[in-house]
Amino acid sequence: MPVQIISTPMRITAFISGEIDHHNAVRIREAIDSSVEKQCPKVLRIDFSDVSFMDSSGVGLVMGRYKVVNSYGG
Amino acid sequence: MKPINEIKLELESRSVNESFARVAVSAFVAQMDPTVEEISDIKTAVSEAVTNCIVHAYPVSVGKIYIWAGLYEDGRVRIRIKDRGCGIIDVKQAMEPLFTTLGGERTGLGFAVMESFMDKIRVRSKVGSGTTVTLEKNIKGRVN
Ligand SMILES: Nc1ncnc2c1ncn2[C@@H]1O[C@H](COP(=O)(O)OP(=O)(O)O)[C@@H](O)[C@H]1O
Ligand SMILES: [Mg+2]
Repeated sequence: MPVQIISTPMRITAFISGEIDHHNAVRIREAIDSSVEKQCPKVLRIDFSDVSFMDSSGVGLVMGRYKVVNSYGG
Repeated sequence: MKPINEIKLELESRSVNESFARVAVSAFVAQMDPTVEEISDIKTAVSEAVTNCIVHAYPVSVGKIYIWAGLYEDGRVRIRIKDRGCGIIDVKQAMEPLFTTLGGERTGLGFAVMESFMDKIRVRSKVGSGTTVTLEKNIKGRVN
């Protein structure tokens, strides 16, 4: 899996590894959203330290997750 | 000017091919001894152009993407990414940062990324017959 998720009651951290393009972003997005929607954490942290490549799809991924978390007041 | 070396690739517009396309082009350019940063700029720009063919040019079907790359004596690399998809109604507007015709997670930053990571970009498009994006970069390389 290109994303590993660690959840605590208040916070979810998603560690993304490898490459973020339009193709991979789909799976990464689905993995993050399914945890976030289950738990609605106050804080979602996305860790990019193991990302080796990213195009504008990575920017879309961040903006999209911001919208999701914002929608329930996180 | 004639290139000193060139390649042609033809691939189907499947998103799984995005990484193949950028890796293939950057592996070809590697013979010019580019810096890590130059390679990463090229990978990113190619990824944007190829993704656009997949998501915009052929939105509901699988079509062909034609890639040509040429290396020049003076250190320039030229990359052409072409589709026979739907075309762009207004190229000038399409190239404005944040302009996108698709909602979802498209940011409208694709052309802005290509412009900032490459030295030159030219977009030719005709509605109903397709789009050609030509990218150019001067490789300064690791030596000198
Ligand atoms: N190959 C293409 N075929 C048809 N339309 C395209 C193509 N490339 C880009 N476009 C159009 O230009 C717009 C801007 O592209 P871009 O800057 O990459 O942003 P994004 O892909 O996020 O929408 C797209 O929304 C699309 O309408
Ligand atoms: Mg794009």
